[in-house]
Amino acid sequence: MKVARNYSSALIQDFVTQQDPVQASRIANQMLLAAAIADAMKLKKMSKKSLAAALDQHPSRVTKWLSGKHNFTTDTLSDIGRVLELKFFAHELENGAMPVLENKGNQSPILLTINILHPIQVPNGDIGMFLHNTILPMVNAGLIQVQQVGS
Amino acid sequence: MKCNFELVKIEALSGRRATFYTAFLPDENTTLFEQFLLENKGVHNAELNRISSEIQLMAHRTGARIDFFQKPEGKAGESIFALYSKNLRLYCFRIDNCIVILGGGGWKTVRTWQEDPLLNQAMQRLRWIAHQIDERLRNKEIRRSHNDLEFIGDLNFCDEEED
Repeated sequence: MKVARNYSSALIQDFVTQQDPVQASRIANQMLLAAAIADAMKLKKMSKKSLAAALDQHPSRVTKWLSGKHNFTTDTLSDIGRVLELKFFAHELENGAMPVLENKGNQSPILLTINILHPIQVPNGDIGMFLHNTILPMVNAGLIQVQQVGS
Repeated sequence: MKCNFELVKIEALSGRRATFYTAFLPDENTTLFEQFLLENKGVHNAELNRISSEIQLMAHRTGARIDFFQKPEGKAGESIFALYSKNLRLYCFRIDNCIVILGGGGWKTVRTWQEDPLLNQAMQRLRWIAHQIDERLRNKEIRRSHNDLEFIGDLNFCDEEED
């Protein structure tokens, strides 16, 4: 079985590591939001044209949203979320899951909000166990992100 | 635009969602992607950083979704796309969500790539390389791994393509 040889160089390593973490995090959020919107469109069998029409926008606007380069406003996310039944904001979630307190060893509890980027169902029962069994793997899989908002 | 090349995997830009390859040019002892980096490093650092972040996110989390790529203005070929930030273009042969071959590119100040000698050269080279890869895929000299993330087969295009 012949596969490609792994290639690297100082130039490539530089390209990979010379990142501004703040900028990289913003880019990641823009792209993950775009991916969540694209996935929801697919689930709802909506084209760019039909989503644009539902939001009274030009289809090129939807192309921009999906490009992973759009700096979304809360209004735009609210509108997209309404049409695609996507919940972008913590307060929209049911079962009182947000905000979440996470105790890290001897540190004081940290207040977290969780932005759900893909549609999920929260079962009744132990929310702590749900978070451990469901949310944590989703965080690790990159489907949701956890953001500290206060302490 | 014929050239000897070997497909190599850029390990640092590959993950569980997508693999990024480039063409190693033995006659020049470098890759198309490194030529692009050399030509733009120090001049367009912010744009390079954006493209780097995007590639890494695609590699590890989202896959190389078509929406993240731009279709170049001017007839380039079905699977030829560009990663971009502002006017910086990095031309790619995008096989699907799992495999992308990075080519060259540059700063675009004209409407179509044909109007700029540097972009035109980068595009012609990538198109020729894409054609060679396509042919081997069609002939089943190259196939895909079970997880679709890798090419398996003869990835050396040096000897056979010589005149």
